[in-house]
Amino acid sequence: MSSSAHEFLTALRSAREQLEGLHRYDKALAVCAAGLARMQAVLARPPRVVILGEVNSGKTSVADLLLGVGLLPSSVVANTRLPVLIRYAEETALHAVAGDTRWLVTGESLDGRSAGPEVTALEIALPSERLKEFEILDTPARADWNGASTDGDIRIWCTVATRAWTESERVYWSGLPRRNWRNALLVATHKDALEEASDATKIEWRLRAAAGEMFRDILLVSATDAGKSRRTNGRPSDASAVTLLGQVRVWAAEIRERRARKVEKIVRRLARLTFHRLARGTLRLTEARILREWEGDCSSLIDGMGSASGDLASVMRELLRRFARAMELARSGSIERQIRWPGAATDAGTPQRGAPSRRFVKLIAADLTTLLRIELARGGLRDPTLFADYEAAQRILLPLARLDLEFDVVESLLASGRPLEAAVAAPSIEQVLLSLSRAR
Amino acid sequence: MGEGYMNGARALGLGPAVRVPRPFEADGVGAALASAQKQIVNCGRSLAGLVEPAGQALIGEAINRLDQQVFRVAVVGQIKSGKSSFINAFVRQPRLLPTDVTPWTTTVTHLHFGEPSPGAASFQFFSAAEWHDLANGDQRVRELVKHLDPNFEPDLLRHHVEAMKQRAVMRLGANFAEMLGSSHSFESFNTELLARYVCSGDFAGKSTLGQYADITKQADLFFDQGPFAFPVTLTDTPGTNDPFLIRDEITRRSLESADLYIVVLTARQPLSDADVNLMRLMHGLNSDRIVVFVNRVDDFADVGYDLAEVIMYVEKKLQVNFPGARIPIVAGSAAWANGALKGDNETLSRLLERSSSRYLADLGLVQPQDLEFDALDDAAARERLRSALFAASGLPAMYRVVADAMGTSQAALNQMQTAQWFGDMASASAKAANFELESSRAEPPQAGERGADDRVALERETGVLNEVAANVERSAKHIDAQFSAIIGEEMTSLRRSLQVVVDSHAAKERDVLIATLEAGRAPRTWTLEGVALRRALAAEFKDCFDRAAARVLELQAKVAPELAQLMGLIAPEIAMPAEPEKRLLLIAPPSMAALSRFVALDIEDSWWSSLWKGRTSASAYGEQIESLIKTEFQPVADGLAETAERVLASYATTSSKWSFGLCVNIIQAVTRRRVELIGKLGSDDRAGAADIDRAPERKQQTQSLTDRLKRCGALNHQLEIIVHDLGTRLQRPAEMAQ
Repeated sequence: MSSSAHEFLTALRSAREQLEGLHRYDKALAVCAAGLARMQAVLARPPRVVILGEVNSGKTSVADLLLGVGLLPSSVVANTRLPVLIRYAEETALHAVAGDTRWLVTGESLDGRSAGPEVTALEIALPSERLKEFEILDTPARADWNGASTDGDIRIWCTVATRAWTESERVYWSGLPRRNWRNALLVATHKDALEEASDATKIEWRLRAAAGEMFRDILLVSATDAGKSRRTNGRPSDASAVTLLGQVRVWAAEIRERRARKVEKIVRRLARLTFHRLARGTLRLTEARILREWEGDCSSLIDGMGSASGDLASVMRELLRRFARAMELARSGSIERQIRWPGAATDAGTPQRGAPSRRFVKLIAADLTTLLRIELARGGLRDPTLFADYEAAQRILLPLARLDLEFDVVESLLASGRPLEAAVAAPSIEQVLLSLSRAR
Repeated sequence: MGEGYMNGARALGLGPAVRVPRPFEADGVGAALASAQKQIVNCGRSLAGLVEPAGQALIGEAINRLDQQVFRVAVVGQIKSGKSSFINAFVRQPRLLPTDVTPWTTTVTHLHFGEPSPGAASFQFFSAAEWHDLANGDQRVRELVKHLDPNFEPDLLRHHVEAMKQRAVMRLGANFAEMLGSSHSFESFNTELLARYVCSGDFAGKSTLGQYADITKQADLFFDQGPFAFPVTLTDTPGTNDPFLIRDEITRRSLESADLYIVVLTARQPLSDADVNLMRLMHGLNSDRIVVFVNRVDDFADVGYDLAEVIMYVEKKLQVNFPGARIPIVAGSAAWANGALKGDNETLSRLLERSSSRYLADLGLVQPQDLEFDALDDAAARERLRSALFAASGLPAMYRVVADAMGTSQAALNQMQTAQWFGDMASASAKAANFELESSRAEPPQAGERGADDRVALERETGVLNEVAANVERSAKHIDAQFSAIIGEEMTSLRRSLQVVVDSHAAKERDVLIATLEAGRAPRTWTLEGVALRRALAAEFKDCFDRAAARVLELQAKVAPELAQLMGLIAPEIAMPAEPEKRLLLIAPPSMAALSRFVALDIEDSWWSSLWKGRTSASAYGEQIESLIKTEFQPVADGLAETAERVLASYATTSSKWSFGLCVNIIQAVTRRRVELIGKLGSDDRAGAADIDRAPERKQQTQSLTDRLKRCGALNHQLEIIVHDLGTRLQRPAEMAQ
């Protein structure tokens, strides 16, 4: 895992813990915490390498190569009858899986085929560092799947080099949905059974011609027969195992990186939505009126938004002006004091026109609404700890939503225009900007 | 499953009594069949010298038929299972057929052994029509496509066709089409020449490799006896399960029914589903003509350990898929056999390099020190290694399996039938001679004085003979009519039964499909259960055929007494051959090759899925499928019925020809004698008769008749022994199966 991804994972964990540590129960916060936990799990799980292939095509040998230890039984005839998931753990353990249940297998209990539910899969946990980079799902031959899941991030299709890529393999593979081809590796095993070095080239040539389009890459490997202290056949193992491992590592890292970026986006969105749900308690009449007025302002501004390129800046300016007024009405002097200022949360820069810019303004408006609502609630709340919770939640959510990092956008917008004449006496646009920079 | 081979297989071609067969001087394969054939032909030739012209013609015909007999062996299997290598080892010419590490064989190659013109080769190109058909995709597939979905094109097939066309142009020039339909013949050939025609060649490699491969349909190579004592045709086929679809298509099209199919598997992936499908399709479900050779055990690191598992696995899977069938399994390695045959140090050391070679020592075939590279320098050790390699290669066991299969083949059955007929002919001849002998002895010594009376008597007898001859002829016609009536009836009922099977299957398929579609499950991987339908057809066909054969045999059994009655009119003493022994009445089961006819419905799964998209009503769909199944399987059913009819008709014709031929032969013999006597009486009358001359003449005649009687008797006896032997051999597998 790259260091930035690691940092993000840490941030995620602490945010979730803080959220869970708040006093008050708030449904939105609970949902958010659960979501964060899920994202944390997604980030923590290494990409899954699924090893597929026809009967006895060297699947388990490939798993062995990836793992680097002769741990799995590899034999001639369809040895692995069950899907075997190999993943990292600090202690070695073997679990049997039957449907949704999963239990620890000790000693001989599996071999004895003890009574009980039909085991559908096995899980092997090993303290191997490599398994932190990727986990391995070694599947049985297709006939034995029994509907077991063979989903994964990286797919390795094994075929025997001396009879590589038959029609039945092609039919199966080309019948898969295209997305399965993206991180797919065609591995021709038992390269060591070939007699001449030039044979490997010929086979690779043929594979690239016949199946190149359906795989991201094609490799020939000498899968040594591991386990059971067997004799090895042919020449000593060559560099092919290293190449295979390297390839899988690079792809796994790539997938992780991509996944981290995706998770980050999701978390940002989740945090923001949660933020928008904060402080939904009942308001007193006066405060409710301020809120309604503000909401009315927002929708009329957004509805009136034209498609000219300058509109966005002017609408934003007006929005901020009205917001400042509403805040001042809610509690005079609040702008100066403590507001953390939300901003745009788009990666692609500020949209300049049309529907996207309208959505952008809407988001900002929603951010501002929440700020206002918290401020309005402050007066109505009997219990100060609840307000402290809101504030704490706000402190946690804003960085997660990256709202604090988006100030620049708004700031530059405001700076580009001429100074605003303040609608209300106290908070000038300069003050707003000041509070923005403070929050940063 | 059978005994014998299984043990042999477990010990890799070594029977239970482990005696290492010496590799380079085994008996010719099929020696028993060949020697039986030779004996029968010799008997027939001798017999021909003793019978009347009618009999001679029949015998000549039968001998001709025997001489044309060939035992056909087809070697089939998935790509890269080592079919060509196996054949090279099997015919002991390790460098004969070109092999390579990528799918290489493109052409069906027939290797003819012990047939005329050894050393020659001929290569037949596709006809323009066949090429057109290939290049435009299978006609039936086209029709189906038009029928179901006009917008659908089997892209991949087209793609391959395009590639093949382009390559043909590249290799042969733009006017390669002019070569279509012709053939190339050579007085002699070598591997390089073969490589031009039968192997695919590199994708962009040397131009002579596979130069004509794209347009070559079939290759015929002629050899002397080779390892075979009986004429054998071995057929090498391109591998099935080839993603290059056209090659698969070629194999399917050109595989004629063989007497034995050797299914070559690769030990590392033994008997995959693709293999099972191939076996089902190829053999027309007649599983007693299949042998499985598990090739490439030298790929194993630890042969002893892995092989046991593989054999068990294959056995089990065969039992599941072909319950009750006796399919011999032999495991081995063509590479070992070829290595032993080549015998050069480079090849041998390459084999030694692999840890699988240690198995030879495990078996006790060589001492471990013989497996060291240094041992190759010692001539004696190298010879030991070679003979061990061959012994462990499974080839000796394969020779035995093939020889045994010959013993129960169509050829053996034909031999037995011929021997039976020859025997009957010999016995009838003997009886005719005996009758003449008796009647000539009964002639009073002073025949001359009663010449006139004799003449009248003789003329009367001749009249009776003519009458009987006419009766026999009538009776023959009558019997033939009955035969064809029976066969006609039975074939109508056969056709009807097959029709019922197809129709009910189609209806069932329709209902299942409609139910599936209505349940909202788009059958992404719907496939026709072609195998089930074929199996049902095969079972029905077998029942119907057996019933028809039984009726034909029943009628045949009635022929003998009827003839006996007729012959009794001439001479009560001549008992016709008794009703033939039931055990020996056999009609060879017809080939069910028609079942393996490729139907459009056999196309791969993924093909179908594209047809389900955006279709209208489920029931319309179901009906389409129903009618499709019917139209596609109609030719299959027709093909089966035609085969059955042909087999029965030819059996009936031949057997009635022989039964009546026997009678005609006797009548001819007796008539000839009568005519001679009448002629003699006439000349005696005219010459005033010198009785003195007659005694030695009569003596000579008696002598010749006695001689004929003896020789015919002896021939009959000898033929009975041959029939008994052949019968026992043919009977054995049937008993073992029970």
